[in-house]
Amino acid sequence: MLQVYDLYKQYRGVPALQGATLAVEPGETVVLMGPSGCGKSTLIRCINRLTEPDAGEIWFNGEAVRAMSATRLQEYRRQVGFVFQHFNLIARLTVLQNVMLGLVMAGRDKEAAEKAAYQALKRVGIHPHLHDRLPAALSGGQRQRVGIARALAAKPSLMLWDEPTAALDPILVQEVLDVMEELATSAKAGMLIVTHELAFAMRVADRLLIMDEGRIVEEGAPRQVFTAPSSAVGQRYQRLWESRYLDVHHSIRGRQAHQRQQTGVTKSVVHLGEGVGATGCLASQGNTASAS
Amino acid sequence: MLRLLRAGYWRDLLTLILVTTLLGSMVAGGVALVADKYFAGTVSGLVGEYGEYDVIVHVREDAAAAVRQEIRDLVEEQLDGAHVKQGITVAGKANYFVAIPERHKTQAQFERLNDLFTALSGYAGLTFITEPSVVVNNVHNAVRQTLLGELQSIDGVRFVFRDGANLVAVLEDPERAETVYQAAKQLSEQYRILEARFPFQYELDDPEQAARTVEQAMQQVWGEHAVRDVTVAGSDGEMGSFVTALQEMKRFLTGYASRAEITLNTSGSVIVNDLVTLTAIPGTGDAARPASVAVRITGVNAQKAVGYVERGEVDALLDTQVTVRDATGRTVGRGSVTNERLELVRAIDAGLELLDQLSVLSVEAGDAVGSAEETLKTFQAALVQLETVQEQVRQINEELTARSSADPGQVLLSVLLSGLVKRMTPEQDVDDLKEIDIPGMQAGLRDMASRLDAMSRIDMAVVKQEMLQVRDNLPRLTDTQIGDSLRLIERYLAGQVVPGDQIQLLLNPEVDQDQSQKLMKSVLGRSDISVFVSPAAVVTPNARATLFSVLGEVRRTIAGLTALALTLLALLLDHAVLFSSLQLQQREKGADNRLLRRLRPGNCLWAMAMGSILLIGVYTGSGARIPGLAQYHVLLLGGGLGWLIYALARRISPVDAEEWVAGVALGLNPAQVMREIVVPANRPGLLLFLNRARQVFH
Repeated sequence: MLQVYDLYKQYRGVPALQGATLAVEPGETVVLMGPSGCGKSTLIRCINRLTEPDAGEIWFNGEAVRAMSATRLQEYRRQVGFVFQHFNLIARLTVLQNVMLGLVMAGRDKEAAEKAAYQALKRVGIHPHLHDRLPAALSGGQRQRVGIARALAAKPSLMLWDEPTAALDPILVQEVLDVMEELATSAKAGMLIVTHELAFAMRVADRLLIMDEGRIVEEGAPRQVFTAPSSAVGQRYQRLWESRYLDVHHSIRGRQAHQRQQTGVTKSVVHLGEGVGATGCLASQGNTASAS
Repeated sequence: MLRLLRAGYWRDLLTLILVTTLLGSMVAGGVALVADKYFAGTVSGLVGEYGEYDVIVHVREDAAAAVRQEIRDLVEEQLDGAHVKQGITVAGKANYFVAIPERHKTQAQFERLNDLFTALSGYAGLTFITEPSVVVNNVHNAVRQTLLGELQSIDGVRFVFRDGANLVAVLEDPERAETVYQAAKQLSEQYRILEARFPFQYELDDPEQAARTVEQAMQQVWGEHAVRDVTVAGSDGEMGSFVTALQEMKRFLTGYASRAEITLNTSGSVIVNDLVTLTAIPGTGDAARPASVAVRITGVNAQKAVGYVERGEVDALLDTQVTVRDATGRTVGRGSVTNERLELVRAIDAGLELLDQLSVLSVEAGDAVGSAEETLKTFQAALVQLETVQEQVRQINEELTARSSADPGQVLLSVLLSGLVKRMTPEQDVDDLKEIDIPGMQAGLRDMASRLDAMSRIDMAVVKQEMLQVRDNLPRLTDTQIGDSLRLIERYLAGQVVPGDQIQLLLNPEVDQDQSQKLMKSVLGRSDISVFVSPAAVVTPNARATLFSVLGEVRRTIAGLTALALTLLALLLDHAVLFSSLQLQQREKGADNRLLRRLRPGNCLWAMAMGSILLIGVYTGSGARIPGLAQYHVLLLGGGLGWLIYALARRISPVDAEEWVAGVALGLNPAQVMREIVVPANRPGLLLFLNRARQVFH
């Protein structure tokens, strides 16, 4: 569905992208990680042509994105939902209007747009009583969910997520991650997600890409990338993963074994912040691996 | 910018530009019109509409009420159909506006208006405001009549009349004003006066001869008709007479002012124009009288100073010694005060008394002369009789002497008679008496009698009455009033050029000004004379027309400034956000963010063009014209404004980059982003108002 070849971009002589290449298939969830300043956001914005690349090719459903006319580009953007790090909601429009905006501007009548917006908002868990509020009256998590609903409303075939939880405090992060995870698992759209959430990536990614200095340096299944990295930055991620999550995993496994012995319960859900996600993630990855 | 225009935003912009220009023109023009109306209304309220009135008659404020009916009666009688309106009172003068009917508008009628209104109580002159007209000011006497005829012959001039030293050409049509003005100017410029002024108090032996000499010298150079001596015609009689009269008045008042003579102490010092105080020495005057007067020093010579009393009354100080103190209160000497006015009164009073005595004296003297004449006559007769008696006694004595030898009694009688005759009529005394000039004395008495007779015929009552009148008509001015008047006269005279002798020559255009000035100086052979050339007449645009022209200029300037302000406002409120969006797009495309790079030619040119279009549109539409600014200046100014606002656009109207990107990411074209996201978030303005029509989400 989306192929990016050898993309280059410089800002005042400083290279941001140096031959970045990637692909996203329909329904696939690709997570893009990398250290700050490695070009992740530039790459994702180039895909939507919010930033013009200097060189390289972008293909979407067999069509060269860089060669698109202005009108065609608008249509393309409607097919590619974009979720911003800082929500980028229109301050003067209500929640509902924010979500309707793209639809109405695309030519849909207001009623149909409103219906679609309702559904999108419902899907991200925004209660109707919030629909007429201005973004300033919402919490950070709610605002980002509205941002997601706005991207979803047009039923895009590809969704680009530019660090959607980076601007949220840890308590609100989970509420957004849950929505994203639900969408990743249920939506048919392809997804390219830029995030620093290792556990989330491990849980939802079909493929994990690690980027460094404007290039994709690691690509593969998340477990594979975290267990057998080939690049220096990949190895740093591996150490991070092991130090942050495997210790937790072992301790949780030990506690679960002890609980099983005492209560006979074979399955439990323990909410321990990120650790919970990591445990579940590892469990699912383990199950997948054993099944395969 | 092109992307924005291609996306359909050109319609929004075109509408904005058109509406801005239209509204701007209307507002700028309206503001200017209101200002114009206000000023014109004020002027009209003061002096009526253009051409509505012809003359303003000034009368003293105190006579205004009386004149109100007088002037109406007068115009009704003399200028049938004239309309009178009372105007405002300014500086103690009430003003009446008189509209003269067309049939009375003639040279003769206008020239007699001054005489006509002189009959009004408190009349203080008139001012012509007739329109349309062209006024030629300060026309030299020598050319006044010639120029009047020449002005009269200009096409479009209805008639010309004299107004003092001015000539006023009344026109047939206001449209001809400019043509006539130019023609009159051309005519007036033909005549120039070359004038030589001699220093004050310098007297030429023979001014006429001097003028003739210069005239001939110049005629030799430039021809006989090029130069004409107009010295007599050009003498400024009125002003000169006035200044002379003032000087005489000053001398007269100074003569009547109380004078002080001061003997200064050895340490005392005063200078001319100092004000000193003269105080009665204690014990020498009545305490109830004014104690002191202020004296202005007019002359100082060694230890003596003189001056006149400027403040206070001198009655208490006359005929007494006074102490003199300077402004610091220090005693600088002693002095005395005299008052010529009071002394004259005293002298007249004494003369009147003498007159009374003289009339009585003449009668008594007449009687005395008559008595003396009678006495002389008696004396003369007595003397003749005495001589006769003496002769008779002598004859008797001789006869007795001849007979004495015969008769002793006769001898004794003869001796007695002889002794008696000698005792009674000594020969020497009789001779002395005879020598008395009786006829001479009689002639002298007759002469005296005739003089006394002549004196008695003098009408003493009339002389007395006249003397009384002189005394009663002496100025009844206090020293303070005289001092004030003197100061006022001195102040006026100080600013006046008291004319000395002068020579004036009328020059034709062919005479070179510089050369003529040099020649005049050389012929007169003096370096301290002032020689200059001045126009013999000056055509000034009609004051009223000038006023309205200035008002028009003010209106156009106000319109221009308003246009400038409105353009700036439009750029600030409406276009700054557009420029800011253009810069944002530039930045989103990865352009350099630095200011100089941000001012890229394309967008920058757009901003400058926008400023120019708006300014020239509003400026022209409102009929504005700022003095010194040509159209291309306005274009440049607009461009400059556009550039300035473009450079500051991000500070003036920042555009939220996140919202812009969100709109783009949602598939909105730049025009839609502007309409739905950027403009509604902008500050209120025309763009926001117009945008409402195209905006989907309100």
